[in-house]
Amino acid sequence: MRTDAELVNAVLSGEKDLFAVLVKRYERPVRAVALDVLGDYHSATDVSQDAFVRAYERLAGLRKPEAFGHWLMKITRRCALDSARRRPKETRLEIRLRRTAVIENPNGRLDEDKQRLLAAVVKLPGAEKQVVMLRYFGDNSVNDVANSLGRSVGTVTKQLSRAHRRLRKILERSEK
Amino acid sequence: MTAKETIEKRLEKLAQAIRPDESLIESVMSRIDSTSIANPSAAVTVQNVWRIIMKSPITKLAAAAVIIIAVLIGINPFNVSLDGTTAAYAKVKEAVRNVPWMYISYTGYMLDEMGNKKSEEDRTDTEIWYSFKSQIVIQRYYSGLITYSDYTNQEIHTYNPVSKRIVVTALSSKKLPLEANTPWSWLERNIQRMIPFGGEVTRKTGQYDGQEVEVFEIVSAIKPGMAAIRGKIFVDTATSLPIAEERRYINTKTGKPQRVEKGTFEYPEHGPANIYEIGLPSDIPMINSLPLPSWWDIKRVYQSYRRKTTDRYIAIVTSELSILGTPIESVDIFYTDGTRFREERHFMFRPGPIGVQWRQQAAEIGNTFDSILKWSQACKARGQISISIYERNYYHNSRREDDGVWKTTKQIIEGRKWSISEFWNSCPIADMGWPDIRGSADVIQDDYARENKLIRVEVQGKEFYLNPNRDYICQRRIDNKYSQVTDVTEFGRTEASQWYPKRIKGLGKNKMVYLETDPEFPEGIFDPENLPK
Repeated sequence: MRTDAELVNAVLSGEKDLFAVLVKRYERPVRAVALDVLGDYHSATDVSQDAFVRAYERLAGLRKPEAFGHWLMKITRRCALDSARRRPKETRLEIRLRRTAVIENPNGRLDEDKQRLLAAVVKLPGAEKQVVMLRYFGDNSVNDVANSLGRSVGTVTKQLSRAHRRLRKILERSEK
Repeated sequence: MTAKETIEKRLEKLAQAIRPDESLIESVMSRIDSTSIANPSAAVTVQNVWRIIMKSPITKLAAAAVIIIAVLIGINPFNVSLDGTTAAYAKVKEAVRNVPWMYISYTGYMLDEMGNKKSEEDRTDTEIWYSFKSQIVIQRYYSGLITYSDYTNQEIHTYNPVSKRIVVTALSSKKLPLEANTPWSWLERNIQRMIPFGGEVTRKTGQYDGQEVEVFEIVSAIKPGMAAIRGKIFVDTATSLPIAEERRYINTKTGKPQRVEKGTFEYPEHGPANIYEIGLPSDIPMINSLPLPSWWDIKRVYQSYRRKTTDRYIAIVTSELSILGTPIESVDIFYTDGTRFREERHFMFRPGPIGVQWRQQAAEIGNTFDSILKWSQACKARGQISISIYERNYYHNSRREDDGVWKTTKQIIEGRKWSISEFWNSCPIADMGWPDIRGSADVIQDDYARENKLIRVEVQGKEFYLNPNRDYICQRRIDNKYSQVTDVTEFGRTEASQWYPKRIKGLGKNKMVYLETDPEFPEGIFDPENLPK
């Protein structure tokens, strides 16, 4: 498995198709970040596309290729916020509906509990957020996450466990 | 459940709600392809783009072809954009559309300072067959290496002249070189790529190989660090198709040519149907090295079969002991009409020696769907019997204990509504056929998987062998912790052509499934009033 940094460098050297590997690796984390801002799957998917294309266009400006994931999440958040600013405001009823919706299908929205958890994940520090995203949304083993990020398995394990602790705290506070 | 487990479980559930979307990758890559930025970093330096274009014979061909086609349609590719309305444009577009195959023979060599051909080492002869319609690109190199790329089936067959064998691997790209899937998109992409280089084209009549042709002379602009190109394209006046091309790369410092490339173009009706037709002996072995699909790709299909529910059925599952005579130990029966669900469990034996009981039961129960169903309705089992009916938020149960007395219970569960998928998941067929495979799994084939055309999935000490030809039913599962092997030894098929496991052989216990998906339900079978009392 190639690391993010290796893939970024390969794309910059002309192997454009390898960008698809990065898209595949970060597709769900990116949609999760967009979903946190926008609240619905359709808009999140559109914004994810924009974020990947924007990242591709600016790839040459990425100083640390190993930080690709973190950088991409920031771009995604910015794209999502731009999109949120552009779209019409929801009515009170729509907001109420959205908040009470418990649909879990690709065309719907997340239920309240999941929204809260996602918001907490997005608030995690960069490195922890990245390992959580890759571990759970990428359905990767700890080993795979370590390989992708060019970190040791021990480091990733520690970061995951710190992230779990932090998430528990954030959720305990928000659920009180 | 500990707090840690809770957060991990919650994260897993959240991740499940954000399902993978393969189409996103395609959309992103197609948007990237259509962007004017050919390469994110090198776009600003044309030399790099040029190097990329000139890196392989096929892209060299593309670079040449863009000039060819652009001049054919009457535009200067270096500084004019496409004009889709001109007659010339339409003429060539039509001509190219009708080309089934292009065959290109290229030769290239370096020149010394006196303008003579250098050693043969620099020679780069290549033959290329290109079919947009069949989505096939074949290249034969001077070294003897042959690649046959089939973009429809996403395979590349590579003949290695040293090892003298053909290896089949997956193509890394889904699209033809230069991401073109039609002749026209191929041309347009090439034209777009050539525009940044700059240059001039002049047109006159002339001769090529004794034939009257139109000659297009191309002189590229001089760019720092790049060789200038002086090229000629010879176009058949009758067909409007290029028949040959010559290019010289001029050192801009000395003004002398450094390299020559020549190509001839043919347009055959048919191309080679496979790599052997390029001229390889039929006894050259072909080795399949196609990679296995990822667990993610398999999981999506697997889950879709796993979740595929049937809303009307009567299912009977008998459990046999793997001892002499394989006596049936218990019978489970499931009825559902989509809104109501009835679950029955019949335990065959009372405590004590089973020999005599078994012989009597075997005669009573029979071994057909009808005989077992009839037997169950008479409640003749010698052990416990439990019958439950689920409807809306009601739950009714009648239970006969060893003492032979029936006890009934009724519950109303507020806020509960039973679903068809819950019914299906309660029926053991779902779990026997498609066990819940959790976590990140590895797809690693072994001899058993290869011989039986199964996909072997390994996760946390368990092995699952999925049968893609039988709706991904898990044909074998091995639990290494308990050294337990369970095999589906017989498959059944519903009237709707869905496969299901019919006979399952496990450690100490075998199961047999009888499934009827278009049943006639016995009168009052879902009526709680009819439960035995």
